[in-house]
Amino acid sequence: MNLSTLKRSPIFFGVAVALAAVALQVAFKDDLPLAYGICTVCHARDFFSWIANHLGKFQMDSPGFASQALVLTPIGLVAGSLVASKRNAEFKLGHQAHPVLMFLCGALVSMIGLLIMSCPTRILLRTAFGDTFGLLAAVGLFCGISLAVLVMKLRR
Amino acid sequence: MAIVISLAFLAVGFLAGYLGQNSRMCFVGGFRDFVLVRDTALLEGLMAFFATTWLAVLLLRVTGVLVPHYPAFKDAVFSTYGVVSVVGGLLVGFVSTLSGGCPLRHHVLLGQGRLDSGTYFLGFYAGIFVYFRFVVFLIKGLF
Repeated sequence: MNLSTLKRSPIFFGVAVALAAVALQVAFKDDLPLAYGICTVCHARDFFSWIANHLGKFQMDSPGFASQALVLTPIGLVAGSLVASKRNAEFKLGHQAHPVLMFLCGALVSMIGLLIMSCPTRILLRTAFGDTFGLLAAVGLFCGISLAVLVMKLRR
Repeated sequence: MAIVISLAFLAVGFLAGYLGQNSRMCFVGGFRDFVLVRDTALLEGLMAFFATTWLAVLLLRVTGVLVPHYPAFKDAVFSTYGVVSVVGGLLVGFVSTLSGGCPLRHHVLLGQGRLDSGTYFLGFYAGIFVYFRFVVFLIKGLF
């Protein structure tokens, strides 16, 4: 198996990102909350909160380290994907199909995600760390996906 | 110190974005594809992510480097926040499936130039703003 097929494999993604997330957790274990190596909702919250706090007096309850350090995971994700898509010649600007639906979906995911403090990625990460709330959220997540698939099949 | 943390997060994000674009990995898509068309490619990635983290945490726990403490199973299940977690997870799964992927997948799609995901992130950050401006005061007394 050479490198180009390896990086196309979802299993390699799972192993590499999980190791990176745990390594980050160990490296900054005094600063980070548990199971905080990779999360899209929480890190977007910290990113937004750092900018908002430096612009004005707007307070958000981010973890303590996030008031000093700018959490750059969202930028890293977009930049990594941009580099990869340019290299694979898959970059294509466009495809704006359902703006209102997507706006509402984004707002709902971030608000509910902040309520349970997880995006789908961190739900799995927390479950693997041994958090029962993560396990409960994972059960809910799988029920929700099945429900949505059922709705999609019925509407067709 | 702060700059080190920032750069470490940037590096992990870059790795996840780079590999995520190549493998089309999606944390909602894994289970969705399995239920919809019995395609296990993404589900395998999801399981690999879970298994690797679980083994790594087990190793850290045994060697004593990092011992996570969480509330006991029984206390967590029979609490308000347990119910909120199940319902919240259900809603996140439902809405994410309708929007076509988990937030991580939408970051990757935005990097590929998909403008739908750009709109998604306008809503995403608007949701964060609304949550901390209004919703957090409404639910303050609940748990």
